[in-house]
Order: sequence, then C-alpha cells, then structure tokens
Amino acid sequence: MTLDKTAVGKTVTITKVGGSGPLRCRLLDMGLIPKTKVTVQKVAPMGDPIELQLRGYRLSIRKEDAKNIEVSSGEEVL
Amino acid sequence: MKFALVGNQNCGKTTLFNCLTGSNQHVGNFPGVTVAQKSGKIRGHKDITVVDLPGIYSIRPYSGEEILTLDFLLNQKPDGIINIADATNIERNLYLTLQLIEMQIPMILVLNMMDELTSNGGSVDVKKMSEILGIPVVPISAVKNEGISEVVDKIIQTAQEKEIPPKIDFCPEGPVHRCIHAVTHIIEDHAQRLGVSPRFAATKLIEGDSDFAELLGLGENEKELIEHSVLEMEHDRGLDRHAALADMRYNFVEELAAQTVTKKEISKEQMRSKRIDAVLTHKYFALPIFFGLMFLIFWLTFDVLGAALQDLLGGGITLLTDKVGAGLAALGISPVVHSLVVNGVFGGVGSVLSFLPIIIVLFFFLSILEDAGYMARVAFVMDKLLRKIGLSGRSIVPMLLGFGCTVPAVMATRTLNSERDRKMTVLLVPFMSCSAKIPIYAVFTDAFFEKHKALVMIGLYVGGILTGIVTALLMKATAFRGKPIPFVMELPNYRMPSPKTVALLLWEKAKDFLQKAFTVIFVATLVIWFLQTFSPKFFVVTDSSESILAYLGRLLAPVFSPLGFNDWRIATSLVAGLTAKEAVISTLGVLTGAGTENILSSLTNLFTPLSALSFLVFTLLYTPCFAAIAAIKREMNSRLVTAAIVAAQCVIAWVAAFGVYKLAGLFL
Repeated sequence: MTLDKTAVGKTVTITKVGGSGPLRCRLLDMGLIPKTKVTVQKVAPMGDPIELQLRGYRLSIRKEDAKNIEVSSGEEVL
Repeated sequence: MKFALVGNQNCGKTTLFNCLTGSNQHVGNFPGVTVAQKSGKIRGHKDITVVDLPGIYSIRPYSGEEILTLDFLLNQKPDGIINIADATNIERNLYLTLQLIEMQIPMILVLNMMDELTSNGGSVDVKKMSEILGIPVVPISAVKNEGISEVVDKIIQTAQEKEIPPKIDFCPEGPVHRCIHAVTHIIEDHAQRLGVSPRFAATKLIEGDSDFAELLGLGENEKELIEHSVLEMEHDRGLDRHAALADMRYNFVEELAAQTVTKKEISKEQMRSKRIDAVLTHKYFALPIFFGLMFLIFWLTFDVLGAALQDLLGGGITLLTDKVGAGLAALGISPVVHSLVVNGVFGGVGSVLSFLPIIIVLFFFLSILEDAGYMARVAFVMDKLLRKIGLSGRSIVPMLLGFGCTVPAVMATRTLNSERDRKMTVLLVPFMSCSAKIPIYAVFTDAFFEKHKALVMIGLYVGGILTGIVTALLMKATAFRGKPIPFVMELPNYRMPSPKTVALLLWEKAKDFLQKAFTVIFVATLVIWFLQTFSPKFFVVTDSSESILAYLGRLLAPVFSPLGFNDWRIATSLVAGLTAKEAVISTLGVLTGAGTENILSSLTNLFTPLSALSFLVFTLLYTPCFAAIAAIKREMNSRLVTAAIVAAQCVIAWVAAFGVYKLAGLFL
C-alpha cells in the first residue's frame, strides 16, 4: 500500500521511500524513512495535500509525492 | 567575530535573533539572490556580528536557501555556529545539528522552547546531551527572554577557544561506517587543502554531490573508488545512499533523545493546535474562514485603520504644505521655487508617505497571522489551486494583497519559503488590479458604460487575474522550468504572536519603505514635476500643454494610435500615472481644461466607448507606480530584471489593449 491511499486517522509504518531527486531527499530529511510510524491526520479541503503526524510533529505533503511512499499497516509489521 | 545562526524553520530562530541583537539589525539581500539576509551586532558586544541564515532542515545543495547556508558556512568561515533547535521537536531538529557538527566549526546547540517542554512535564538532560554531542548545549526560552546571556557567553567562549566539535561516529560498526571512513581516507588531503572538514566532505560525496567533487578537485580514479565504496555500502546495507545516511542520522538522534529527553506523547500545545485546526482547516469552513479573514484585513486596512491614519497624515501634510506655501508667497519667493517646494517636494513626500499607514497596518495583521502559524495553514488549504500555475499555496496572500496595493503585496512575498516562488509571485502581483485604479475605472464606466458598469468593472478584475494566470503558465513553461520546489511543509503548532517580533517587523518594513521612498520614489516624483513645470526651453509654463511632459506625450501618442487613442493628453496622463494611479484622472482633467468636476464631458470628446475600453485595459495592466517599481527592485535585487519586468508589463498591456480594441471592434 502507498501513503496516499492510507485512510485518514490510520497509523502505518513506512517500508520504502521511492521517487528521486531533491523531493525524495527532502522527504528523507524530514524523517520519512523506512520503519518510521506515520499517522494520516487530514486531507486538505480541496482534496490535496494531506497532513501527516510523525516523530512528534505535523507535516504536509502532496498526494502525488505520497504515492512514492510505501507503507504497511501496523499488523503486517508485527 | 562573526557567528552564524542556523536552524530549522519555525524553531524560534528569528525570536532568538531579535533577543540577541535588539533593533540593531540590518536587513538586506544576500548578494545576487532574493533571499533576505539579516545581520546584527550582539547587544553589548559591538565587535560581534550575528548573521541570521535562512531556516533550513538539511544541508543539501538543492533549494536556494540550502545552497546559501552551505555557501556561507564554507566560504565566509564564521567563527562559530549558533545552532538553534526546538526542544519540543527534538528528533527532526537535531538531524541538522549532526550535519553541522560534521563541518568542524566551533558551535553550540541552543535548545529553544524549554518552557513549553517543562510545562508539559518534560525535561532534557542537558549535561548528558552535551557530553554525547561534544558541544555546549544551552537551554533557553527565546519568547520569555530566558537563557540569552548564557548563549552569548557560551558561543564567545567556544569561538575564542576554537573548540572544534569532536569527530563522532553516528553509526556503529557496519557498512555505512566502513563507507564513510573509506571515503574520508580517500579525500582527506583534498579536503584539508580546501580547508573543509574531511568527514563533512565525505558525507557530501557519498550523497552524490557532484559540485563538491569538482570543488575538491578529485581525479577520475578517486571518484571511481568512492563510487565503488558507496555501491558496496548500498548493497550491504540494503538501502540507497540517501536513505542510508538519513537512516543513520535519525537512528543516532532517536538513541540520543531516548537517553536525554523525556516528554509526553502529545503536549498541550499540540492538542490546542489540533483543536484550532479542526476549525481552520476544516473541509467546509477553511475556505470561507480564509477569505473572511482576508476581507476583514482589507476592510480594516483600506477602510478603517489605514484610511484613518492616511487621512490624518494627509491632513497634516496638506496643512504644512499650505502654511509653507503661504509663507513662501508672503516672502515673495520666485514662483518656480514656490512650485518646487509646494508641488515638487511636498507633493512628492506626500505621495510617498500616503503609502506608509497602509503598509504598517497591513503588515501588522500579516505578521500576526505569520507568527501565529496560520500562514502554513493557508498554504495547506490553497495549495491545490495554486499548484496549477506552478506556485504553492502561500503565494495566495501576496496576490490577494495586490488588489489593495501592489507595494505591500510585493513586500509580503518575502515570507515565501522558496526563491523561485518569491520571484514568480512578485511578477504576478501587479496584474491584480490595485485599489488606486478604482477611481479611473469609476470615471470611465460613468462616462461610457453607464448601463454595464458592474460588468466592465468585474471584467477588468477578471482580465487582470487571467493575464496573471497566462503569464504564470508561460513562466512555468519557460523561465522557471525545471526548478520545481518540493512541497513538503511543516505545520507548526499555533503560538501566541510575540509583540516584539511583530514590532520589529513593522519597524523593518517601515524603515525599508521609507529608505527607498526617499530615494527612488522621491526623485521620480521630482522628475515628473520638472517635466510638468518647464517648457523644452526651460521656461516655466503657464499652459500645461507647453510643458516638456506634454511634448513627451506628443512623441509617445502615436504609440497608442493602434489602441484607438492617439492624443497627447492621454499619453501624458499615462506617464503622470507612474507617480500614482490617481494622477491619471487629475492630469486628464488639467490637460483638457475641464478640471476634475467636468471630466465626464471632456472624456466623451477624447474617447469612443471602444477606445475607452482599450484605455482601461491598458491602465489595468501597464506598470504600476514608482513605489511599486521600487518595491519590485528591492525584492528582485536586480536593476536589469526590474527594468525587464517594467518593459514586459508595458508590452503585455499594449498587446492586451490592442487585442481588446480589435476584438471588441467587431461587436461594438
């Protein structure tokens, strides 16, 4: 599953950060790296971007970029 | 001594900077770019300069802000780094700290917002953190002005004793560790020759920074060795180079935080922010609230507070002008000097100062919204809309302000996070029809479009917006292609705006505006006065049709004949409109001899409805006033670019007016 398809309110674990270039590096720098737990908090009123909660802070990214982030729901990891 | 202040966005960097320097600040642009540079002397230490570098999350050569910070730290060789981190968000903040430590420059870590952490029952083992990182750690609360003197003492001491941070291995034995050490070994000599830390250079190279490889002067052989080592690491670690290093840093920080920081899962401030966001970024309420807020600010600025201040100031200036004028007349001073003082100097100063109340009131509201954390929500809510034209959500604010006054709108672009967005927004703002143009529209619609007033008005506004959108799309496809800025934005907790930050920002904006006002705008107003007052043979004119400006108007008039108005008086009024858009109507009144009262009938002699329409379109789009040009020059940081923008606006206006004239001619 990818992060953009994750339901609001759900907490998932990042398994892989795809994509390339500056954007990918920015995502990694912000702490979106494999094994990190992320909660999808909200979708913006116009349907994009989305709001995430991770590492004790809140971050907003666009859906098209969230597509590159592969996640698994908590149970799968266990 | 010179210190660099480095930290994430939203970690209280500006507040600390204000605490350190007071109003002792100098704001400018970094050489050659439009990124704001603030520097100031530390209070009580006249020989120590602090440079406030842009807020960044990582040291990578991607965004303009990151390149700038890297460049400053490498080439300006500051005596010390003050690294500020948000103690309530320690993991992500310390990520940058690790990168800074690798640079081997004397540095201290300042943990800000400690009051917020402790009030939530959290704590930091400062001593242990300092031991692990090998640099001094100072807990402070910038908002409460606590711990500031210790910051000053510690950084001076660290810099004086040239305490270089120790070389720490951020990861245990393993593939990444081996790779870093191998690469460090390969490039050690090169790095030392360049005067940069080998460890820092090694991580840069592992992350594939090819500019850095050039800078170090690496040979093909060495590059191959490095690549080989990195490939081996990627294979053994099972992660690519970027992810492997990010993972290494975050693991180290997590471990460090586990040993030194205790805090609750969710703080009071986070809960509060979530509750506020439940309303402010609500699916249905968010947009009405945003536009409502903007409307309120507009109303207060242009109708209530700003207008009242403007009237007061205007009244004062008029009173003073009358007194001085009467005094000069009583003394029997030559009419030329009288006119110079009354119309030139006072007129110029007056038109400049009339902007000031609006700028101050507008920025008062904007800085509160910015400081409170609302602007990040605006970006979140509006992003989808603005992305289509290649911008991100935040640009909506300067663009909306453009409908009020172009000058503060252009000045407001400074809060945008990326240089590219800033430049593009500055280009678009003038297409939003400013409020000073309303009188022109009003007079012309009265004279020619009595029945379709609202339609023409709305048409003009929409026309401006459409031209802006088309221009943005063209720029996105040409000048600004290939430099997309990633939209990855933190949503900081809402905080009470600090009165000091707001006050200093207002002071900065006012000072900034007045400085350029009394150079560029004042001189420009004087030039226009000169052109209006003298004939080409430098006699004072009694008939304004004999002035140099009128002759210029005659020269210029044929340019407008394809637009349907080949009359020197119209051309002249457009030139006069450069001082302020209000001057268009008053100049037309004077030149037609009708005065402002009888302007309607004289306009019907000058224009047909068709040419009136094309005139309105031209007025909508052509270069705004000198004040706006000065503001654009300030933000673009380039005379050439500013001149090009002004030229482009005139050309676009001409083409659009021509198009409207020809197209409407088919129907009217």
